[in-house]
Amino acid sequence: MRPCVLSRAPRIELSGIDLLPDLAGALYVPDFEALLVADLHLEKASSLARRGVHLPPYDTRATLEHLAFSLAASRPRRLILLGDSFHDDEAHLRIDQADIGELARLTRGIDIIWLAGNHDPSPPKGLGGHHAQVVALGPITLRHVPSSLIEGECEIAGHLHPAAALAQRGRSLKRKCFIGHARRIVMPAYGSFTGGLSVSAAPFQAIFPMGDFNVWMIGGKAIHRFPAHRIR
Amino acid sequence: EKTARQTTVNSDLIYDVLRRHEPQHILMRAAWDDAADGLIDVHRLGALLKRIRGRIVHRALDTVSPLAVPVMLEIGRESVYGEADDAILAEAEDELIDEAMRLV
Repeated sequence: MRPCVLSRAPRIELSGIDLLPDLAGALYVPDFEALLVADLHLEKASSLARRGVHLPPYDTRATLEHLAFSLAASRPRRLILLGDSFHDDEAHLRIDQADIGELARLTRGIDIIWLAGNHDPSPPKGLGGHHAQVVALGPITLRHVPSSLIEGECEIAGHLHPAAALAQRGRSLKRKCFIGHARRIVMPAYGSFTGGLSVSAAPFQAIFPMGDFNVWMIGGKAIHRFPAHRIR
Repeated sequence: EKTARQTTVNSDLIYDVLRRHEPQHILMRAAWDDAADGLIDVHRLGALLKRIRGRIVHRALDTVSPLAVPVMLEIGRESVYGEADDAILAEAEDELIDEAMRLV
């Protein structure tokens, strides 16, 4: 008999601090009333269009709809975006006025912190909030790219767009996921047109060298936790 | 490596986004027209239903009608791709929990 206290709402813990993942790929940190999202890549479709790859130009709108869902579920005091919020540094020239309005409406009364990403190193223009390279939530450092940790430091980062593949019943199911161990978590890419890089790939081996990690895979209705040995 | 990752987009995603934000897009209409001809001929079926409207007699049978046998045999053969994914993920997770409990 499975203990009934186990539910499909898992929590991730880092340095004694609870992190609550949601189905859109955000993390809510109740101790700091902060909602974390990473790699939104807003205006990715319009950026690709300039290079002749034509996708429906609604990625920003769809991502903001997910953000509305994440914000409504957590009601945070602060929203922290862990870099690559915009697909490039000219995104502010292409973004729809309606989407800017929607973002402002969603974040009214909420402190926004934009962390610099490799795609969007400069502070976003005309969108308010604060800009930083790195931010600390107690013992946890938030930054865009996972980096070497100093003694006692824990980290939440983005940049790598993790996805995990699980074999079950002769099928292989691949999903975006959170990946982490005792000292760091890498968040999935939140943006609607973002994909995932397999957690078996080299960039993950570099930061989880012992192959010792858990993944929290985002299903359609729940988040599912698996240890590394279960992932291909 | 990063470039390849960014330009590969799931076609399901394009469909979902268009359906939500621009349902009248020509690609959507083309997809529906295509699907309508695929497994069943929706237009012919629609014409039949219009023809017999008001003259349909529904009768619950005690046994399977001979005319229904071919479709009964199809049950379990057609699959809707991906619909069981969430249940499969949950099953895999439960297996690990069960295994952990056995070791306790």
